[in-house]
Amino acid sequence: MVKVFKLVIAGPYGAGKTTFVKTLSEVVPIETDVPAPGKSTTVAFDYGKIRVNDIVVHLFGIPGQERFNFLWRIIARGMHAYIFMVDSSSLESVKSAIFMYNYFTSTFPTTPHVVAANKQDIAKVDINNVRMILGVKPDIKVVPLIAINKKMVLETLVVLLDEVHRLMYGSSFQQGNSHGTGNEKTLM
Amino acid sequence: MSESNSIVKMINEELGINLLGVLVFNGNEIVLANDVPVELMRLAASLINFINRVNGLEYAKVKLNNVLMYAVRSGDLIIVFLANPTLIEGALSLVNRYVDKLVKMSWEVLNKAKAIEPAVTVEGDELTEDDILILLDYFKGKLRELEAKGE
Ligand SMILES: Nc1nc2c(ncn2[C@@H]2O[C@H](COP(=O)(O)OP(=O)(O)O)[C@@H](O)[C@H]2O)c(=O)[nH]1
Ligand SMILES: [Mg+2]
Repeated sequence: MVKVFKLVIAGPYGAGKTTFVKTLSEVVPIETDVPAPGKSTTVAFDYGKIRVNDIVVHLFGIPGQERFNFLWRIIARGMHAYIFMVDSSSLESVKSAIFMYNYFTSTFPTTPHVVAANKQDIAKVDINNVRMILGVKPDIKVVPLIAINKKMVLETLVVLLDEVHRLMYGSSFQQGNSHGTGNEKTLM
Repeated sequence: MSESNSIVKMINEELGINLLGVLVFNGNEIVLANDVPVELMRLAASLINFINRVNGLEYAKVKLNNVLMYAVRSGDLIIVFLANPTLIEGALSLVNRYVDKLVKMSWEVLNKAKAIEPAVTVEGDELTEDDILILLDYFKGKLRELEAKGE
């Protein structure tokens, strides 16, 4: 039986989501045909499918209109985990992620995630400040990232999967509630 | 996003006023918004929470934290105009003429979202610990391959 692992890459416009998926496609075989049943779609979003044994990893990036949270909810439904990406090359760009980060952490409070502080090659905001500005909880990891760097892209995924493993099978494992159900709560 | 920025610009130019922002909500979710600061989004969202709780409320005018908020309901959607409290009453009612255009823009966005829905509603399966370990192994393996290649 083929099982689906659904992974979402969230973060504001310009954070580096498309770049991340593109870099990943250079190291692992990714199928990028969107599984649109019947009709084709004109809305561009990042997508990739990676087959690992009997598991299919579906990777979804949040599409262009990053400010509109009903799209976030649609994309995020049923996800196992997410990477929340921010552009750490300026204070403004980190701040622009606050609203979206709050939405994700309050709507999907039990879904494992990591925060990726992208553009470390030109970073103006260090990891600790990214953590502070977004209000990332102490037990959530903030990982440095350069999305054009293959190794760092893979490392980000490894850290995320470690988190999934820790949350599902570590001491804090809660049976049957290990990934987001899509039952979103209110906006704020 | 750029469209909503330009509509705010257009309203301001045509009316000679200085709106801080326009947001359109469907339920408690934002469908359309110009580049307003997060604090303003929060204010607008709190107004929306209030309006959604009051049955049959067609519009609301509120001054909160030195921001004047004017919300108009149109079917399922609620449009919120944000302005400085100094904005005179008469000017505020002029923004009504932009409601139809904003509603139309919002439905375009909502319909686009509907179009992608079937493509993204892949729901994750229950996974076992082994499944996660297999995935971990796979990506760690790819990392080692890279390192071996000296990349
Ligand atoms: N310097 C630098 N630029 C990056 C990095 N990641 C992405 N970018 C650039 O940032 C811009 C936005 O990236 P993109 O992947 O399109 O962001 P998206 O909107 O989140 O999909 C593009 O010009 C990328 O080339 C990075 O790690 N370092
Ligand atoms: Mg993109």
